[in-house]
Amino acid sequence: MSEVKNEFIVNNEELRKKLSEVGKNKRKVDGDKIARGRAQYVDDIRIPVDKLYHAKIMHSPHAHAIIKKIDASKALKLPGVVGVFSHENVPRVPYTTAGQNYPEPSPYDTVMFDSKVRYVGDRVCAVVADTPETAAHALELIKVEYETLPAILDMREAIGNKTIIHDERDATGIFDKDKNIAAHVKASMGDPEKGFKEADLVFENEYSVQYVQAAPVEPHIAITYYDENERLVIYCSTQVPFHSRRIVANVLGIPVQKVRVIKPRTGGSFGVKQEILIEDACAMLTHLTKKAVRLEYTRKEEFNSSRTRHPQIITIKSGFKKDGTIVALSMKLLANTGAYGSHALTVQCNTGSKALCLYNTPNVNFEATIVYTNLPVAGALRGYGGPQGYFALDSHFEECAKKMKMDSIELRRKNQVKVGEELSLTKALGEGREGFMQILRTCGMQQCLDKVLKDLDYYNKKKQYDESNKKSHIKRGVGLALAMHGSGIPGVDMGAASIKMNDDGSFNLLCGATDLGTGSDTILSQIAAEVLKIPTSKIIIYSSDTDMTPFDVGAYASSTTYISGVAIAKAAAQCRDQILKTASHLLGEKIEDLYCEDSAVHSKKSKKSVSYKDVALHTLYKEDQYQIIGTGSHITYDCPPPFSAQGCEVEVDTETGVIKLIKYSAAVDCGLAVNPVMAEGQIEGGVHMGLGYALCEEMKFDSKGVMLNPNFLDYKMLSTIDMPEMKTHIIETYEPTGPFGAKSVSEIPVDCPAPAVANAIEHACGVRIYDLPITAEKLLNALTNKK
Amino acid sequence: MLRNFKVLMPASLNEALYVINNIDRPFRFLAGGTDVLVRLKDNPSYAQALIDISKIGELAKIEEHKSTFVIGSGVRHEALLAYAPFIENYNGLIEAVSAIGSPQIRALATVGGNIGNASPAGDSIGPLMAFDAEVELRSQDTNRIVKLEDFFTGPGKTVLKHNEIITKIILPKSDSLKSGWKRLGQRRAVAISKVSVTLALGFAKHSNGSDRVNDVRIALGAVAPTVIRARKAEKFLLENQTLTKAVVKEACRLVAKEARPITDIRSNTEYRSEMCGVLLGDLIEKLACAR
Ligand SMILES: Cc1cc2nc3c(=O)[nH]c(=O)nc-3n(C[C@H](O)[C@H](O)[C@H](O)COP(=O)(O)OP(=O)(O)OC[C@H]3O[C@@H](n4cnc5c(N)ncnc54)[C@H](O)[C@@H]3O)c2cc1C
Repeated sequence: MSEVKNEFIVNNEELRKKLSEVGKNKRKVDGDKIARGRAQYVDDIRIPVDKLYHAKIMHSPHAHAIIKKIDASKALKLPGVVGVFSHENVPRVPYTTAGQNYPEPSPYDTVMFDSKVRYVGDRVCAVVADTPETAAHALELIKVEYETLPAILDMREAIGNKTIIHDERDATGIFDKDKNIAAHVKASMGDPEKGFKEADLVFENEYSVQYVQAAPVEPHIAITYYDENERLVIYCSTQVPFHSRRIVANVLGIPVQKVRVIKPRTGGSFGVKQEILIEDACAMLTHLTKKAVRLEYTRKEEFNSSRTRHPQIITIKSGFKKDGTIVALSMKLLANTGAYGSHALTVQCNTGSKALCLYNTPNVNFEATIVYTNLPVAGALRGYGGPQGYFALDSHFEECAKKMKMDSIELRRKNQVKVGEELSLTKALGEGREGFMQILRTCGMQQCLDKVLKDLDYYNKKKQYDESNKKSHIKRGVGLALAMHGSGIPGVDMGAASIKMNDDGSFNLLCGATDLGTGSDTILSQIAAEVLKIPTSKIIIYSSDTDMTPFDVGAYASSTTYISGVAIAKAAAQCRDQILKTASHLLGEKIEDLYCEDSAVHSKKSKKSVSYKDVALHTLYKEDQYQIIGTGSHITYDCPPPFSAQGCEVEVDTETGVIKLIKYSAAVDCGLAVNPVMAEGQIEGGVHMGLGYALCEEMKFDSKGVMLNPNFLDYKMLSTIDMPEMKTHIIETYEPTGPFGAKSVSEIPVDCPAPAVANAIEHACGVRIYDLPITAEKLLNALTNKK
Repeated sequence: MLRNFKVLMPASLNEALYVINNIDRPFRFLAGGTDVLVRLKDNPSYAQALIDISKIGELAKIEEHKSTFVIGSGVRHEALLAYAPFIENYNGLIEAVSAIGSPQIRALATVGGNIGNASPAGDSIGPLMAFDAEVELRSQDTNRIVKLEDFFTGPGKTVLKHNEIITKIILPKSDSLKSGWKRLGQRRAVAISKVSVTLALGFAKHSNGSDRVNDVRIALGAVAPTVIRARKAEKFLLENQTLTKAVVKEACRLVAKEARPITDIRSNTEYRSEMCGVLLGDLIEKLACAR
């Protein structure tokens, strides 16, 4: 852990009160144009090239097959078709589609077009044509001969199966190809064996979680072309423009210098755009045809061929002393990465490093085995392994408390990690390598818990329903769950920004951080404005463009506010210092006597002041001219966790199994909320996503691996009227290493809903459901079996 | 992808009848389009032409006759829901239709489309069938009336001939019936029913002054190849007349046995069968208490 060196510290209420831009509900800087339909998404981009061509991808109808022959002769004769591309005419370069830091901790087990397909939805070939219709027509004319292979459709059957999914020779970084194991990790603290021996009580349960989709409103889309300088320009809807540039350049075999990636407005991503999912193919097609090409996934393609949340089977074992002190904890996961190992290792590492650190346990054991199957590819998805782990952990804790006849809330309070304590597995489980031991500096969990208990009137309701439930088949229950997450990947995530001053005292802020609809452009502008002591409206932000903006790893791991935010504050501070220097010259006073406020520099001594505008005009036009400009980079070895307590009240009809959400309460300690309303939006959105995970979202497959519900009619997300009355609370703490005390807020909310709902259901009807989603059918079946 | 596809827009019923009599390719009607366009997008060979009947005003009227209401096939769900006599006397129909899709869907989708689509999960069909509705089918030269119960032959299949169109739904007046509808879906709105039950009951006084049941209609949705009437349970309730706990229980058991559901992505056989009984029980309780 690094020493805290952060000049933007807010560590108490007094300093908090002095803030004028940060911690305030500023309007979203892009809200107006989005509301008016004027925001430019990739699909709105008009490129300076005569003609835009269209690509369509043919996806595999088989779960596992060798491509024997691709007969494109008819398609090639179709007027308007530029070319058909497959493993026959596209260079073979192994890579990973995971948009992670270099070198990516995911196996290089993917090639753009292979002679083997590994899941229904895998790439077979692509067509470029003059219209989308011609491209689609051409696909129908291509005849592909397959030799089908046995498929592995159950992760429990992957290890030791005769069928080997990645038998290609050139793949690297796979843990054990012959056993279909993409990745494997083991980590421990203390002496787990001894810990369990010394425990008075030991409990063990198995949980499992399903395949779900992120389902951003805007599907994956890319437009690529060679510009007048023979440089490849890629417009795409991505979380990671810089990783995209590096990975695409590598796959195409051209220098990074030749590639420019631009991310305009993005219509949601939730992790699935931390993936080089289609821009690699689009860029390759441009590269091979020298045409401008557009490729956009349909919703069906999103369902079949995008990325998903890793399904897992989780075994948890815990050992307690009689008084409820936890002394040993073990988690074993079997996870399904689908046909490719994108994020296979790191998502599962995160399951362990997040869930197993929440309770301060001296002896911890973690093991994850991540296997290949012939099913859709898993990847990054908001929470990044957290929701899986917390469903198991918080369900398990509730069960332990019940068996120990203890109040589950007190059991949690007692064991939950406290300020000053180590987060046990953070050193062992880093980003695919050893990480950095974290010591907890701030924690608002107990206050979060208090809020939620009060909202739900938890203890009263618990008693009241225990009584009233005896009388009716309509039963009510309350349940709770806790979680902690991270803020960025310590020692890995780096963000950078530059800020320059204009004639009128406005500033251009250029940053690599990517706003995905999350609002980071607004938050980062607020941070810059706070440091510069100007209104947020004076900041002109531009993100992200690999030619124009400084590097940033991109938006993932809840890093943007916490990491990129400090980079921006640093850049702004440099500008401020230059402004002060010039002002000191103009006012003829010492810098120490000056301070910035309201877009001007003031003297504490003489009470004289000079406006930023005058400073700018002076530096640009009058004397010893120079550009006031600052740059900042930020990396940190800290990863302060945000905390959340969430709870709900549910109603269960024990005759139909129907579960109704009555009330929901979510409290999050995200450090200081840079923009409280937007932070609340993140919490509410995360809860919505988590509730869908708990109750209804599930990708279903037939016995051949074909997805049965690849559309929004059959794949159910909760609609607004399914959402319960909801209370949201932000519990502010002041994290000394974050910008103005901020930690993070985007992933933590999605960790709690599933266990909270499962616990509430258990309270209502006495039945524990171990596998998500908790459908009416499943619950009724469990109720019947209980009788 | 649609190629060599035709869209025809007849201006009147007569024109429409002429068109379908002479068209030489597989077609579908486009009424609200909420089924047909979804299917066409999924499966381009679903039709090679659409005949847009959404602008034909004569199909979009509701009329009151002496002993019937006549609902034009082009009446939108939204309009049906606003029709006062239905609100007053056809509670089961109103409950079902207000659950269809969402306000946007109900503003476009039609009753004729719900019937023409012939889904076993079509939500307006159960109540219409319970009220013994009939449909009028017309071609250029013929005109026939078919009981709704006899109209469907399987999922997506009906007795409609290639040159026929549904013009009207004829709904007998039935002031004396109390009705209700219940369904289970995967969520609260925009969800296709996993199972739905319609119940209509008529009551009379026993000689001893207590209530007795003198008319029973039960329709089940999404639990058989078509929406069906549960005749055995109907008969049982009618014979027993008094709704004792034991009678209701037996009726629920019977209705669960009459269902012949499948397992699909929305639900499974066992659950659907069992729920027919549970929903019927709920409805009986509700209708019997409401009196
Ligand atoms: C998001 C969504 C949610 C939905 N939710 C529900 C729901 O909850 N419950 C439910 O029951 N349905 C639901 N549906 C299905 C659909 O909305 C209904 O079945 C609707 O009533 C269809 O009417 P339409 O006018 O749109 O039919 P169209 O799509 O225009 O036509 C459907 C079929 O009926 C035939 N047809 C139409 N009119 C006639 C006619 N006059 N004569 C002969 N054949 C005809 C057509 O040829 C076609 O085959 C939903 C659909 C969507 C898209």
